[in-house]
Amino acid sequence: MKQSRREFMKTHAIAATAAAAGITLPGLTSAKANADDGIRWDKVPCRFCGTGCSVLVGEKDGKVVATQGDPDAPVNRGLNCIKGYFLSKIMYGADRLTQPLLRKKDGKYAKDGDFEPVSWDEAFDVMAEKWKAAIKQSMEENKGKPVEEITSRVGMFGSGQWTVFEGYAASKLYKAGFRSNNIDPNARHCMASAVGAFIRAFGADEPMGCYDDLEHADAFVLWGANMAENHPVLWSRLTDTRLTKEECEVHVLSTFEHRSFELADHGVIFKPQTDLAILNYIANYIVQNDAVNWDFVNQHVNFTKTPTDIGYGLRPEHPLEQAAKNPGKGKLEGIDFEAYKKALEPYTAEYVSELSGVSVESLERLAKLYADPKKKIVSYWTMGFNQHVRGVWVNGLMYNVHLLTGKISEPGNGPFSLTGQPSACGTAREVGTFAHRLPADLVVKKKEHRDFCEKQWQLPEGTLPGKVGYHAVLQSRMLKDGKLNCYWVSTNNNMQAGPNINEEMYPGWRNPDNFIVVSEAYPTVSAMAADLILPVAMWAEKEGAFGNAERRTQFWRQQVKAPGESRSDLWQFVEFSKRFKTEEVWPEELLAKKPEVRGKTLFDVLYANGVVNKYPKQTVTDSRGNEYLSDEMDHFGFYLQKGLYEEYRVFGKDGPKKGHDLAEFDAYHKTRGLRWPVVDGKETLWRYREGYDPFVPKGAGIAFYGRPDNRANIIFAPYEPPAEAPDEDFDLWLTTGRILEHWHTGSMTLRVPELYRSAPHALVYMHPKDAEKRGLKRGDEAKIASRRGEIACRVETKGRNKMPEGMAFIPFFDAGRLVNKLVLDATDPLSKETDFKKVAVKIMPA
Amino acid sequence: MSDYHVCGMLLHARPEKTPRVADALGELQGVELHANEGGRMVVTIEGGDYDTCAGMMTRLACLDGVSSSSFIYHEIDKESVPEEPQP
Repeated sequence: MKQSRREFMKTHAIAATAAAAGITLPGLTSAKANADDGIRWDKVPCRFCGTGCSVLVGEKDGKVVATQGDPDAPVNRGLNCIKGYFLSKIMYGADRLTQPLLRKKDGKYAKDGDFEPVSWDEAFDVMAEKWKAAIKQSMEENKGKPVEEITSRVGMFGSGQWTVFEGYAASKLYKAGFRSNNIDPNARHCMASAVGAFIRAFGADEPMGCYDDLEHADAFVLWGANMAENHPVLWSRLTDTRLTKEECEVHVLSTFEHRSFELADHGVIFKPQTDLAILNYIANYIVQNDAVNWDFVNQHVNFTKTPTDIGYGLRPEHPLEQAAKNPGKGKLEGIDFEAYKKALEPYTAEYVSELSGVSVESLERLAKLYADPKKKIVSYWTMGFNQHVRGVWVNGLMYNVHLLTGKISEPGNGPFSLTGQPSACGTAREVGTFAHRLPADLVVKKKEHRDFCEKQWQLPEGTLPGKVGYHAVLQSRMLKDGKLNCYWVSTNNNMQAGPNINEEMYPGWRNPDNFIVVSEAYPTVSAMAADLILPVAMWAEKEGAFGNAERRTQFWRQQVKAPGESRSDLWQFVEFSKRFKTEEVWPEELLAKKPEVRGKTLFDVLYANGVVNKYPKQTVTDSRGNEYLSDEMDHFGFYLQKGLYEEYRVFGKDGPKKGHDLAEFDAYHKTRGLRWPVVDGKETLWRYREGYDPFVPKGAGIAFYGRPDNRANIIFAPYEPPAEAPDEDFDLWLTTGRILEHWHTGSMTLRVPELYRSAPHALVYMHPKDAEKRGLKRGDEAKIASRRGEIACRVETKGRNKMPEGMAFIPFFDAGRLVNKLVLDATDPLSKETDFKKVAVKIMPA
Repeated sequence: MSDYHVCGMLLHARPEKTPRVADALGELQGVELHANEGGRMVVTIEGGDYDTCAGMMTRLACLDGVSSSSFIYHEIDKESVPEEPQP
């Protein structure tokens, strides 16, 4: 009996795999997960990267017991990566946090106390007391100031892993409730440069294309992305196209040779930072060889240039900032084509070859590819472009190439910025949880945008502060300087993921003036550095929604209960709001504008406002009649997620920035997601192109309608050097990144014993000659030091990464080897995103 | 009887590299190649526990010649279901 069952299982495994590959095997049927073993199957988007794969989650007796790539999902078509394969285990780590923990001494909160279990009531009491004191001080400091100048001493560091509902609720609590724009997502470390460049070029965030381009393109170019390890499912689709489409070609650019080079027809290693010059060379080649698509350029493009010598986003007193002519400046200046052409002239093949270390032949091969009007090309990038002191520039230079040739906004042609988190797009960007943003591409600086937001949220006029809040790196500096005193960190592990830990992060968290709260599922580095830890329900333990890199919004139902006293982040934000009376957070002149809010709590004003609490309690079911839990609905007495979502949806539908329409709440529970704008139930695959995008006027062909003149900006930006480079004392480049087995800081994947054992520790990858010169060989323990700190790792000279001489790589997943101690907190002055890719280090035997 | 795990994996390799990959797969215990169409290879991994499967998966993913690897299916046959969380 057992034996035949196991044979049956194996047949299923073969059939499902063959079906996903589109291969027919005689005698096998591609049955889905068998439904006769008491397992309830439901679709849930994956918890990890920004690809947005759908997985089938099998629940039995209150536990997730199995997962499978969802064969009906358009994103992954039944495929899954190793992290997705182990999804069912991320919730069951041995050290899961199940009750609030507060640092205490003699029965009372003490900054220097030890963690003790406390009730939610005690946790929120202590927290609310701290928040109220800080807000009172802020109100004193803001007396007599116009709304454009008000500041706050409370802040939050959120996440691109928040559900859409959580991001929206948190943003509303901070920006409206606490009147603080000091809320920023960890997507700042990941996507901010892409956002900045989208807004500058197109006036609207997020890619114009979608994953369907993976099958339509003739050529793929990777610029600073290791898709084979970090976006394996998209890489699988890309590989399939490469293997099955005639004359399809793959070009991979990086500062070292990684797993994606295995497929490459043309692999290119360049020196750090010289991507700026390579892209200008390609543009120069296109211009010099008359390969400009003039019909496109004349109708749809403006030429501009950006201010130069803009510094490195360090503290203002840093010598590099003092030396910069235009620190932080980004206002574009219109130029004509001739001026643009002249600006490109220095970027000859010879000059760029010398600077980048790439051969003239290789550079020409790339340039000819982009210049060939018959080739459809998609360019992909992730952190190589984004974590860059000129990240906005380099993203923009990529757009320049696609705009010059008109290879954009159509099947198989386009620049595509991949994302690293499941809802960096859906939550951080679309909901607008950045320090400068409001929902649906609105910004806090514009009064018109604040007015619309205040109207939707039924707030007194002038509630929302108009000054941009502290971004991620600035939050760390302000904590250290004592100007930000109450800090809530949710769904991220910034003490491991953030830059310059020793000098700029840890001191602020342990500053006695500050109270730090971390909402976490596991005792991460960040949790252990906090004063209060709040245990969270994660992923399938709550109902949620994510938005992936191709503008696809996906929902899921709560599958299982969270352990112990863990509560979802959403529950935490909304429940905490009950502890504040409007009088405690808003000044008298604001209350006077809407006297009926006096005496009410922030919960009443923000969530029980007649809109968010509009949908009564109901039973959540799927199309087969299975019933699901909804812990938030049970607790608050109304369908919280639906109410938040329907209020949020108005911003995309009726807001000042068009083209952000979403479908109704219930539609998403029935589909494998929809790509916005969704108009009349129909999703949009390619934006800005007539026939695909309903917002492009008839006969226009193309309209970049995010901008007032419907034209995209080509933005000239030169090569400028990085913030630091190897010298006599620190003679090697170090770059950081991710690996296949672990996701980001490993908070979840390191709890999966099999993934932990597969890759337990971070290694330092180096060229064998570099190792030898330093008296090191493979397997030796080495000390890696920068001007900011040091760590120890074992040396790897073989394996998945092949480093060029002069370059080392260490992944950042390992809490025992905090590579970000070495990283300088130099940021792109425009996007405020840190450059984690260019650190000068020395390496020696430990 | 011990636990039984079966995983279905799709590997991609450039066609010129598939013979080498197929040979390497043949050497690995619990690994079976069921089909190969133009570098798209249907592979199963069988083992007694998660560790064996996970170890094999990363090994296949980083195998010389393998461009891409995806996991399609996984099922466990245990003596006592449901599976309990890790201690």
